[in-house]
Amino acid sequence: VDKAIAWYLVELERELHGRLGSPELESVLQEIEAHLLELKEELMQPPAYVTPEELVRRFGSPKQIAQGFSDAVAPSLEPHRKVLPILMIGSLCLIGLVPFVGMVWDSIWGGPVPFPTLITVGFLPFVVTSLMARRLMVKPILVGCAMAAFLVTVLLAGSTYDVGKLDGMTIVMKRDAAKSLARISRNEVILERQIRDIDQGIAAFVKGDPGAVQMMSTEGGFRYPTNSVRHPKWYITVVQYGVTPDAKTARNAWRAANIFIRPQLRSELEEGRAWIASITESPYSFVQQVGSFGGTVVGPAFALLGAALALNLMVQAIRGLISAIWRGGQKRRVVSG
Amino acid sequence: MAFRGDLDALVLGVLEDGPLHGYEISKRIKLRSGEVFKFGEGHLYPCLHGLERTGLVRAEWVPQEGKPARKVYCMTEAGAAELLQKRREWHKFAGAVSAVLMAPQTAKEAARG
Repeated sequence: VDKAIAWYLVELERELHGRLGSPELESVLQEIEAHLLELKEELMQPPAYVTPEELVRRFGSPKQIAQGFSDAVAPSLEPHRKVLPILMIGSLCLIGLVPFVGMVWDSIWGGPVPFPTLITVGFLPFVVTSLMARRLMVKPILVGCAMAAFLVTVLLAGSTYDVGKLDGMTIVMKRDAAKSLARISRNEVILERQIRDIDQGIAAFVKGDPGAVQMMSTEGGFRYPTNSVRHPKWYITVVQYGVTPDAKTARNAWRAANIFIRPQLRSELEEGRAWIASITESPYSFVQQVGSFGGTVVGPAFALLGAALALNLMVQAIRGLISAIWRGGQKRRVVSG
Repeated sequence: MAFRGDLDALVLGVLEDGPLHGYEISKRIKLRSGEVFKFGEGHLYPCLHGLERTGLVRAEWVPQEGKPARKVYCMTEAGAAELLQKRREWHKFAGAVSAVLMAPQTAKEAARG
């Protein structure tokens, strides 16, 4: 009978593993062990004799008891069930699958977000929730959800494209590639206008245009041109002298514009023109489409999945260690008692 | 209307007598019910666990000489209020069942009388 009790406790521990936390599990096992020992004493009183099968039958199978504990802790899983859809909707919003969110992204970041970042944002909530889940069965389901969310993201957003450091990014979604290309095209127009303005300004100054001389004598100076793409007129108004520069200083400022800034703008413009010219049939012919598995799934998603599983194993190992230490302490206390 | 959480109610009913450990709770339920309730004793522990989590009972470990320590449960104020509620539900439920099942018998007795 003692062997039957030991077997029962081992089976129950196996069934309860993952359903209860380590200290809770130890407490339940200790309590049930005490109950079984008392039950054994009662059932072994003569003339009765109890078989191990009778003991287990009377107490309930380990599987049934474990299921009972799962049902008892089910209400505590409720918050997770509520959090999951919120995390899902939140991550989809962040990714930009909800239409108006794209506009918000644009206004905050001034452009699309790199694809690996999107994947991280979309994937991480599921990984975190799966690590939080107490029942082992929930974990593979949540990891499956994460993979499904990733695939849905890719399918809904279109294929991904390697745009070769366009806008500081490498792999972006199809629609974001289009956005970036459109913005670059718009910037080329702005650059052209800037050069025209600076040319006109220099010509006006050389000709002794009173307006240009007046302006430079009060607000001379230049701003680095790439920062003034959206506001082409600012390049001569941003840097304030504080005091009115004399005619010589103003003339030097114009010369600097002529010598340094104009060639730089021209070079950028020519580079941009050549780049746009290479896009012939459609903007997408320029960017290289990434193989669905080669560039995306194998990369960030599987790296995250691997990290999540490694983290999960580590957590399990630490839990096991704590459990072993806790159990050792419990046994020592019982023996000394 | 339904009388839900039967085992919870039975445990709270027994704990009204005072603090008890799991084995004693199961024995008292069987004794008081005249051996009518023969549930797997192990099922008591998930129930106690749930009651403890919801604050209806409080538990503490009591050491025993030469034996493993026992976890002793006692009812909290919230548990007492819950027991009162369960009793009301049970009276209502039992009264309703009685009214339906006993009605023909009562009518026959009235006819004989």
